[in-house]
Amino acid sequence: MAASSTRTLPARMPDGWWREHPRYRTYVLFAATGFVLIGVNLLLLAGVAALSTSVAAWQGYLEVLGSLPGLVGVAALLIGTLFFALRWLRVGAKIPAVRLGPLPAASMGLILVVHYAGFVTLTLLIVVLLSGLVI
Amino acid sequence: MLETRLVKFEIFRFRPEQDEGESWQTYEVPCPEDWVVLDALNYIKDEIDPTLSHRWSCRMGVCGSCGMMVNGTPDLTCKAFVRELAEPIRVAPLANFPVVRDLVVELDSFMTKLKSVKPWIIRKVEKDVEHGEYLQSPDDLENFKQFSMCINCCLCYAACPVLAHEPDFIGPAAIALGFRYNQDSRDEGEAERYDVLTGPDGVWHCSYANECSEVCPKHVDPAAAINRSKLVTALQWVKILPKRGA
Repeated sequence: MAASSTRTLPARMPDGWWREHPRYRTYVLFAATGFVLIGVNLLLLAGVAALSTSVAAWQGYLEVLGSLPGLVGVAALLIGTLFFALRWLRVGAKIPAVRLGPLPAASMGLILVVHYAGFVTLTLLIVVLLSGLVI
Repeated sequence: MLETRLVKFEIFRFRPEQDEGESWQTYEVPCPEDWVVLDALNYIKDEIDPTLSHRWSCRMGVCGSCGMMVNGTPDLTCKAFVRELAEPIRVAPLANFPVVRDLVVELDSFMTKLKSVKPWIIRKVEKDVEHGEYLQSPDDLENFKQFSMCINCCLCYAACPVLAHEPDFIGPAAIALGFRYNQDSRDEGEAERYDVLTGPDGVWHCSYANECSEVCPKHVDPAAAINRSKLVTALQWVKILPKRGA
C-alpha cells in the first residue's frame, strides 16, 4: 500500500492510561504478578537446594520461612499468587469454550464450574499434603 | 420539552495545514438531556466552529465510524450519553492510530491487517450454484456468530495496551474476524490463515489484558477469539488438531 502523503500526528497511547483507568491498573498488577511467580519459584528452588545440601541447611531454610520477614514475604507471595489465579480463572475461563476439531464447544457454565472446582480441589489437596495429614 | 444545560467540552484539535502539533479547544454546548456526544460534536460543527473535523454516519451504533476517546475511554460517540459523563467532557481521536485531522484517524494500517487474515470464506473447490447452498446447523452458526458482529469501529485497537507498544500486532478485531472464519463450518481456509495468526505479529503478542472485550460496543469479545486461537493453533502445531484446508 502506498504511504499516505497527508501529514499526520503519530499514534498516541491513551492519556495517563494506567493511572486513570481501574481496569488498566488491574491489568498492570496482573502482569506484575510475573515477578511474584518468579519469587515463588525461587523460594521453592531454595528449599530444594537446602534439602539436598544438609539437615542443617534445611533447618536454616525453615527458620528463615518462620521468621517475621519470612512470613511477611510468603504472605505477599501468597496474595500475589491468589490474585493471579483468580484473575486468570475469571478471564481465562472463556478460552476453552471453543470447538476443537470434532469436539463441540463446552458451555461456559460447565467450564466455570470445572475451573473453580479444580482450583479449590487442587488448593485443598496441597494444603492437606503440606499439613502432613496424609503422608 | 427536554431540559437543556450548558456542557463544557474539551476537544482535541490538529489541523495539519496550520498546526505544528495538537491542542485542546474548549466549547460550551447547550445539550438537551437525551443528547449523545456525537450530537454535541455536530452542534459544534454546525453552529460554533465549522473547522472541526470528525467522522460519523449512521448515528445508531451500526456503522462504527464515530469511535473516539471520550474522557480517556474508547467509545462510540453516538451511544455515549452526555448526561452520563463527567465534565469537562474530553473528546480525542482514537488512541494508537495516527491522527489525520482533529478527531479523524488514519485507518490504513488496520485495513492492511484486516486483509492479512483473509476475512472471507475460502473454499478449495467452489461448489456450483446448481449443486445447492452450503448447509449449516444452528450449532455451527453459534460457533462464530458472536465474532461476526464486529463493525470495525477500532475501539478495541485504541484500548489495547499491547498495540500501544507493538504497532505491528495484527490486533483484536482482525484476529477476531480471522477466527470467525476459521470457526465457520463452510470455510476451508484455516491453513492459509495459520501463518498470519501464529506469525511474529500474531496471536502470541496478546498478553490478555482483556481491554478489547471490555470496550467492544457489539460484545464481540475479541480477547476470547485471540486466546482461543492460541489454544487451537497450539494444538495444530503439535498436530493434535488438523488445519482445515491443509
